[in-house]
Amino acid sequence: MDSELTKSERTEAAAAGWFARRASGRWTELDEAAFEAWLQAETANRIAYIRLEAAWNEAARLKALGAGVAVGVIPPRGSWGDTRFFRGLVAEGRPALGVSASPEESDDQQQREVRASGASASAQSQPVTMVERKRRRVFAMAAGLLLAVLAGGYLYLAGTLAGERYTTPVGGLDNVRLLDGSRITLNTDTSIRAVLTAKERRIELDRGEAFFDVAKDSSRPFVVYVGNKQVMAVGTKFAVRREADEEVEVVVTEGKVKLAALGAPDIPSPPAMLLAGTVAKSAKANVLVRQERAEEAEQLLSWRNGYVVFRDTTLADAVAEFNRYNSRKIVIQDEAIANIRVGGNFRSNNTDAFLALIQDGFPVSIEQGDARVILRAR
Amino acid sequence: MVKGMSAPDAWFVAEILPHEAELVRYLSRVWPNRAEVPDLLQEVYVRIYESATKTLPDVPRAFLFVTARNLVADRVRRERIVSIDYTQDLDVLNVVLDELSPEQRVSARQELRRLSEALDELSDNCRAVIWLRRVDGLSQREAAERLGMNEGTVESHLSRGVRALAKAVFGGGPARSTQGCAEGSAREFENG
Repeated sequence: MDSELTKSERTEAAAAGWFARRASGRWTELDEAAFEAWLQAETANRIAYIRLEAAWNEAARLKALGAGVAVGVIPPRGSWGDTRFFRGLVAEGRPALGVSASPEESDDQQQREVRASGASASAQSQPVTMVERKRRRVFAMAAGLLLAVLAGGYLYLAGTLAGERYTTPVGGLDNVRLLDGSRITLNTDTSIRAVLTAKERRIELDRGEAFFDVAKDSSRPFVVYVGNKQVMAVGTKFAVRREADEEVEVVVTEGKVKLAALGAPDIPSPPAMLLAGTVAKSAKANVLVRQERAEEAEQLLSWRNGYVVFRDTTLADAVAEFNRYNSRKIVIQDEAIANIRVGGNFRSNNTDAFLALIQDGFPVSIEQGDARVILRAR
Repeated sequence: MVKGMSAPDAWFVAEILPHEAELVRYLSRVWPNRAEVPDLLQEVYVRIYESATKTLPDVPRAFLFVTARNLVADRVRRERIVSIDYTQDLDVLNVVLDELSPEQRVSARQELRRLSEALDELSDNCRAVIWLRRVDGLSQREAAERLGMNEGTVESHLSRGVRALAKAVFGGGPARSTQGCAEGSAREFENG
């Protein structure tokens, strides 16, 4: 197990072990000697240790959250949302209406509001009276501002029930958090609509590619509609890509999803269950499923970090991939070079680096135009 | 504090660690394999620290980023990496240095917010241990009694929790450092 960890992970784990041991109250002379030896052994050890120690000292700020809570009582998650919310309004002068803010921001506001009204649905069973009291006091103080925000929140909520649209331009990349806690990453040139109802979390992928990190909620399936297909999940992570020719690609990195055809009686194929590590390509009625190792499936999702990754990819496919991200398109003029195999990691918007390497490494000439780049055999 | 906490220790905590998030962003940008970034970070830190035991640099932040760039350049040469666009990105460093604002420390309120979010992402038991130990100041034995755990379990939760807190405070550190402690968290996104 340990061998799977990177060097820095092992160092940090060891440092954390020493840190907790030293704080345990059961520290002996022998421990001290061993600890000193460990500190001396490598500079990296010492650094990892002082870093954790500094973080622990810094974390003393958390004591602010414990004000008014009896010792030994652990408040439920997010009990500080309201106070933070209050401070946010006053100190940051955040606009009271979140409607026009970025999805991330409005959603943040929405979440706070859900906490404020619905409150302890997600709370654990610990006593919260002190926190509640504090909360009420804060509410009284902020009542006016709060009303304005609640109004904004409802407007936002209403908008969401009707469906919220998120789009990215060519070369864009964006993260969206939905009200249910699910997170969506939108790749270049993508358009989706999200409709959350009591029965279903419905996402329509009109164009492009998106990665879904689905919050668990078995009562409301999370369904991505792509043309005449639907991809269903309960709590999992997967990506869906819609291509121009109605081809759909699904990459599952965690959990499982179901891929099914929608309302097409002539297609008798049963839904396909896709497990983690699966890459499924589906055109019209067929589904081509291939099982990859987890890292390879993950690699197909490098776009989330702004990279495209090629492994023994034809130049034609690599070029097509770059063209998704850039408005100045690359065109391959000679069939002869289309099948050259390339590999590597590239920033998706850095076509120049890619082209420079192609030119260096292969018999390819490059003609740079304003609107497009032409590749020829040389 | 570490016994005999030396000048470089205090200097490192005050002048270098606050740039960690930014440094990780830089390394992630110039290094193609994200999984290797924590190890690179560790190497940069070691170089910085060892050099600081001899002389402290005048402008720690610039020194840090130049060290990082040189390290990446060394690695690229050594590993003969050809298919990444590193040359261009390394030069962008100049821009990065110019972009650095003098006041990088986040406000106390932002800091508290990040910490409270990190706390809430811990598993129930780990979160409870961190709360009792850090907020309530209970000893390991007291925390163990209250939670009905044995002391060893409390200790191991503490060791995992402190790593998650460090990530929240400094923003970088080894990947998956919260593994096992942040189970059930739906927020494993890298937004860098």
